[in-house]
Amino acid sequence: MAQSLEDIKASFEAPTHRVVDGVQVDLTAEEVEETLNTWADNELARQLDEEQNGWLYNRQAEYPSLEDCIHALLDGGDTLTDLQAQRQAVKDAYPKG
Amino acid sequence: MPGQIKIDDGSGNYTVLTNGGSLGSDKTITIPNETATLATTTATDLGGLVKLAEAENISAATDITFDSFVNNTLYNSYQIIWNNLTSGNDNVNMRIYFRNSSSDITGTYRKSYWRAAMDTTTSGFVANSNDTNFHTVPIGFGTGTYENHRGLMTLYSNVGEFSNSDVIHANYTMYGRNQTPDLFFAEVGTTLETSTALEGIKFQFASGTISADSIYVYGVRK
Repeated sequence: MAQSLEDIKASFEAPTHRVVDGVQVDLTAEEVEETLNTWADNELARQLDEEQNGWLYNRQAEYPSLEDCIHALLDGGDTLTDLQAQRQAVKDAYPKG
Repeated sequence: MPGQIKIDDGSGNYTVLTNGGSLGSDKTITIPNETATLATTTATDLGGLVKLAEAENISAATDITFDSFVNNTLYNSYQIIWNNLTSGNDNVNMRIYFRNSSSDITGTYRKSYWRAAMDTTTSGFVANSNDTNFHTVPIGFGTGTYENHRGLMTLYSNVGEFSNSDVIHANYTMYGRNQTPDLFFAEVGTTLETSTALEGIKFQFASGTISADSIYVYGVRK
């Protein structure tokens, strides 16, 4: 479950500077606050996306490769059965949100 | 025969002693017993790659920005090399912004890429993928040991000799260990259709600080 915006913001250490053309430039208090707010907004968006679509990203990352799928489809038999079992195991590990 | 001696000061300038010595056919260097004529010029006349900007040993910055390296009269494109670039926050993506007048150029940053993992089977090809107001690097960053990225970008201005008049192009090759952590190799292209002239570039994470051993910006001399 996504954290609250306040908790996310509090988790960041306040930045102190940026680097422009190779030179360190200190941030003003307003820029620090603005940066922390932007970071918190972006991190919250990432957490919400992960919450909604994480199952999909994880499945895509862990499914057998296309090469393995083609190999199993052509071979059939136990190879195909094993591949389907692998896919099902991934689905079970990451149920739809 | 008369010769020249060029003395590089290490910061983009060199001094030329036009009668500073001579090299004989027997490979003997002769130094004349007289005051040499001095002339100073800039390294931009040398041709090839010219270093235009650099940032080294960057630690925990909000962003790394280069706002004043573009010169379309002298250069037809730019090469940007980053080394050991890391994020302060776990599981984030880097964003790249094109710049004008010290501001980000907004618009639709189009993107296509392929990425291939080197220690897992996760690989893919993605086309026609868009980001709004920045380009998102399609390989994530983490904070674990050795989770860093290296890359080489070629950047083409929307103004200049090879201009399409309204398009900024960038393509880069990058290597990295993402937040999983898996080793990746990727080739990425991004395009921004805009009439706002490219003047600079900014590297930043969606959240958290950015650090890098170095980023160098070179111009490809016409």
